[in-house]
Amino acid sequence: MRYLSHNASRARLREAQNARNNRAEIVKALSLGQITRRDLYKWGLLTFGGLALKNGLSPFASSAFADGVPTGTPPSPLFGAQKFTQPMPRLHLQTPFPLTRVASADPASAGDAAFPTSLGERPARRLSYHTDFTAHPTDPQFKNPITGRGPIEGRPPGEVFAHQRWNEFFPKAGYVMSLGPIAPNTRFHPNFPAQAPNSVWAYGAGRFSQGTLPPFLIKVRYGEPVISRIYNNLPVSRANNNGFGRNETQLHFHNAHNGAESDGAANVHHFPGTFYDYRWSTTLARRDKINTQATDRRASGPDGNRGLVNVAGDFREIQGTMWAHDHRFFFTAENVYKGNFGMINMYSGPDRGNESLNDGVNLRLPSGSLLDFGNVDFDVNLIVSDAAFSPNGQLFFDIFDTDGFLGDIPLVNMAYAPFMEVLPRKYRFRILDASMSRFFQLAIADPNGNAVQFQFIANDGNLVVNPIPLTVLDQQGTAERYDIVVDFSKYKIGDRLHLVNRLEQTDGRLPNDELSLAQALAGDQNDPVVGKILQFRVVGSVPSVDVPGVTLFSTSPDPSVVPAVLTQQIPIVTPVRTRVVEWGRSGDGDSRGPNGQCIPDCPDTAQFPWTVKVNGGEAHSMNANRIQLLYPKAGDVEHWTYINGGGGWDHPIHLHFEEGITMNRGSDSIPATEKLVRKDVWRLRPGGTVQFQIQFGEYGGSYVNHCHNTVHEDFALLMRIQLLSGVAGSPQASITPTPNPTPDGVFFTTPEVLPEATTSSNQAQTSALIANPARMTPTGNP
Amino acid sequence: MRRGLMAGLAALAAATVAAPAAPDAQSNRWGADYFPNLPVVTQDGKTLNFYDDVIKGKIVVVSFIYTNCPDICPLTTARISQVEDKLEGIVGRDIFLISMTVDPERDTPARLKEFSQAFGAGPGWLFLTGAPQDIRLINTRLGDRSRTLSEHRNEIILGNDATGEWQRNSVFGDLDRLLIDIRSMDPAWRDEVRQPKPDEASNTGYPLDLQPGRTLFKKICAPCHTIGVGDRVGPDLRGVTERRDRAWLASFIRRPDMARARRDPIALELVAKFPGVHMPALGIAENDATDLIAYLQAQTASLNDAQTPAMPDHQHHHH
Repeated sequence: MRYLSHNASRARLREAQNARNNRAEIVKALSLGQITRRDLYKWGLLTFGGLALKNGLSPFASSAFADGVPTGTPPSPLFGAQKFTQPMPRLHLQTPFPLTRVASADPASAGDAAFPTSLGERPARRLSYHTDFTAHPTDPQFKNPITGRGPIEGRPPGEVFAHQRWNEFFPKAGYVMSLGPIAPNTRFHPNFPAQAPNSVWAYGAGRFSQGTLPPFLIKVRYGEPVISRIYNNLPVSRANNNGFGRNETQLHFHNAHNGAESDGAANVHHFPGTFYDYRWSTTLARRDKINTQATDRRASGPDGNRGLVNVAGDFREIQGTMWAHDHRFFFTAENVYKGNFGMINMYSGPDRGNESLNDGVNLRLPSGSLLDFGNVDFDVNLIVSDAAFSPNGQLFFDIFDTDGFLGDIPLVNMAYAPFMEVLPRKYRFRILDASMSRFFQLAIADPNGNAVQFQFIANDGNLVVNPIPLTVLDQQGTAERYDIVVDFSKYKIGDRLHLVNRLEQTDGRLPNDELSLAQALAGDQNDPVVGKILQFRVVGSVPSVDVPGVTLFSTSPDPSVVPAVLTQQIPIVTPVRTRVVEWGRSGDGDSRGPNGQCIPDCPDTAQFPWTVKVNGGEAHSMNANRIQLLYPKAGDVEHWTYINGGGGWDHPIHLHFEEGITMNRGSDSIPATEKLVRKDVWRLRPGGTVQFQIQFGEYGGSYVNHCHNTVHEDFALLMRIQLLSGVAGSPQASITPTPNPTPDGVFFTTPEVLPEATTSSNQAQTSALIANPARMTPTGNP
Repeated sequence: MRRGLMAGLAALAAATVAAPAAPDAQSNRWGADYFPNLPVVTQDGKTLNFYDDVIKGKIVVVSFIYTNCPDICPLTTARISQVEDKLEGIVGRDIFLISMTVDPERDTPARLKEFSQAFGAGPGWLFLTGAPQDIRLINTRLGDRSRTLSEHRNEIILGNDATGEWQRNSVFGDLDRLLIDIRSMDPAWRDEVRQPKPDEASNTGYPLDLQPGRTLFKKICAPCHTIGVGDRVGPDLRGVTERRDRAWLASFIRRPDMARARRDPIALELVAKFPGVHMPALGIAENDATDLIAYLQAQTASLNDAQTPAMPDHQHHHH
């Protein structure tokens, strides 16, 4: 038995509730000599295997639900809450402010992007305000107003962290949000106690505001670059974290096509009292290479008035369902779990979020019709995750768990097993796995417990060429997004359907077997997160989310369509370069002694995080966490192979900045939802392989490639990629220095660059990679 | 296991009985109630209570080792010895280094003593062993939940028991960055203002370092070896490309464990001279070995050039 069911006997539950205390008391009593090991043997609490493998006292099964499920807590208390007794919260939509260009004679502020005066926000600018602070360290207007020390902006100073291509992607929409302690009376279910301010840290609208749940939703459209100004409103003392989470943050817009300075993933966390301006450029990939004159109407964004704003770039690279989350190295897992994330829907001409407008470009996927774009009445973000709670009902995380943290409470949009009212019509769901370590496999059960067929339309925010009919999704690892369309029209008012998790997981390193729908519906005593996690109630009317006050009725026609063709395939071509990245395997992997013998037995060999081979050359040992893959030139097509050499673990590997086109999974089968489909997170599968085509362009700088099991990521399954694909002559066309944030400002260190294997000598290869012979200098305003 | 248990009981009997710690603030989940106060034995054979004597009220840097480790752990310890050097004067006073064995059956205090001496560990650095089940419990609580020795945690843990802050870190990143993270465990140190100076690096990029082997040397060799500054954990490598046959050197860099196993005479000579710790097999690929040899050769040559009287240009650098 792994998880303790809530139907377990009262005595058994009490025992488990007290397990942690008991262990501590026994250990303490032992050390004080108040009891002896002989006593423990007599009581049956100690075996030769260690302390107490029975009665829930095993110190090695730190989990409460017992052996091998390392949550580190007793079963989370439910306070009598039943599933499907609270409505599912829709994500917290943020409102943009218009930004205007400052036309000033003062060169210091000319070209800044001003927020509306009423907000009292200083304008956003190309160079960080840290640059001003460095030049004028005693000027109070550039200092952290809360602590009185360090710069007001966390973005590092100078050209290396200037917004790339500022004028070309001048921001038009501005958001102001804070990461703060959770607002009073925030609960994961009405029966649960309110979370203490420092149990949950989440985003809220405005400057130095409190955090709110559910997480934020931002609607971005192509052609309207965004500044997201994020204030850190967390406690100044980092010890005030209720057991986990670091009060330093950086917001990573997962895989958006942004400059490295706005990627939020390159050692750029900032401190309480400061803000960071992320410029979310909405750059459509390949804009320097394909459709450069912006003549293709499919490469466009909605203009807000039934028209289109054309943008340069390849319409096949359009992105849709995205998310943003904390990326503070060594703290990502605990920070994201604590609430530091939200979702971003990107809207385009084809994927407009309007199901009625018929302009020859709009796909008219289920969404709604009340708004010009970005309708969410029938286009619903679903964030699935798991959590654990202390006996007192506060959010709990085991910071000492390195295998991967699993919770025993299923959450949808950060609410415990809610219900959602739906009309009998088509809905689009944008499903994100935001767990730390849990893999989901989702299906929908009809009122009779039979699987409902649905259409799979996008993977990781990328439309598939043709919708794929499915009755169960593929496994979904942390950070993966699956978009599906479900048609409820054949169900009658009053019917109840359920979103069901069919994947059992009792080990943070990888999931167990997939269960049948019937098994999953029956519940699983090993894993409480198996089974129904969300209930759909078919009703006759629902209030509009898009236009409050309007009621939507089941009798209205459903104008939405799911076209047979959603986009076009990007072809696989002969690559300029191939790379093989092997995760979790040391050197040549040979642990035998001389003569191929194991004397006296084969030694254990520690596993280094990865090795890299380029163009089929000998592997180079990449056994440190500060390595680099160099990408020399914008537009070079490469084929990468990821190999999970680490044996029994599964890793969802995330490549920042660009999607890859999934080519194959070695000799394994590849599901239709991946074959030739663009992705940014790949589950490697235990012992598995995946190959994809990739190219980079438009921006340069330092990005990363890592395991998205955020616990593994913190463990250093992370490598740095240096893209030399920035604007020629800018620092982003060379190796960029590494920023190191401190409360008093950022200092820079020189990155250590490890060589890569090549078919030629390293020196010849690296010389060819770097055209500029000397340390480069900037060329002023790009 | 039986022997370990008896040792544990003996240690328990010898343990000093201390008053239980006062309950920590409610927000501190990782204090006296979390860390076991079990007996542990230092490399000097002294028995301590883990929480009361090793953790309580202190700032600690914890790593996990085993002295029979054939690969990465000696490098972890060597990197920590570099940290110890850089924190000279405050280790043992403000900051305490702790290396927990994950192999208590084999790592006796005497073995740990020999190992610690190989790294020149000072008095502020404890190498701890004890009864296997006690050590496993402590390590589990510290986050080493490995099932086999080779899976053990290569990260390090930074903790400040006074504030209840615990965090992961790594010795394989930039050591200067790590030093800041370690010192930042002390709130008083954090409260001191250290404003970075303006740095032209914030405006410029770097070309790629074209010297093969330099970065690798810095990362995986320099923790134990110098070039021309004398023996450290292992021998000074100045002139090693002249002393040794090139093929032998390439082979030894990649698989020193195999050289020792086949009783290669030079390998045995090195074992005799540096008994505390043996060079690990670090999974170095052939290309990397070639780069490292080139780097050793180049560094030796430049030292030799600098000291050749016939080259007065260089001499003044050494005056």
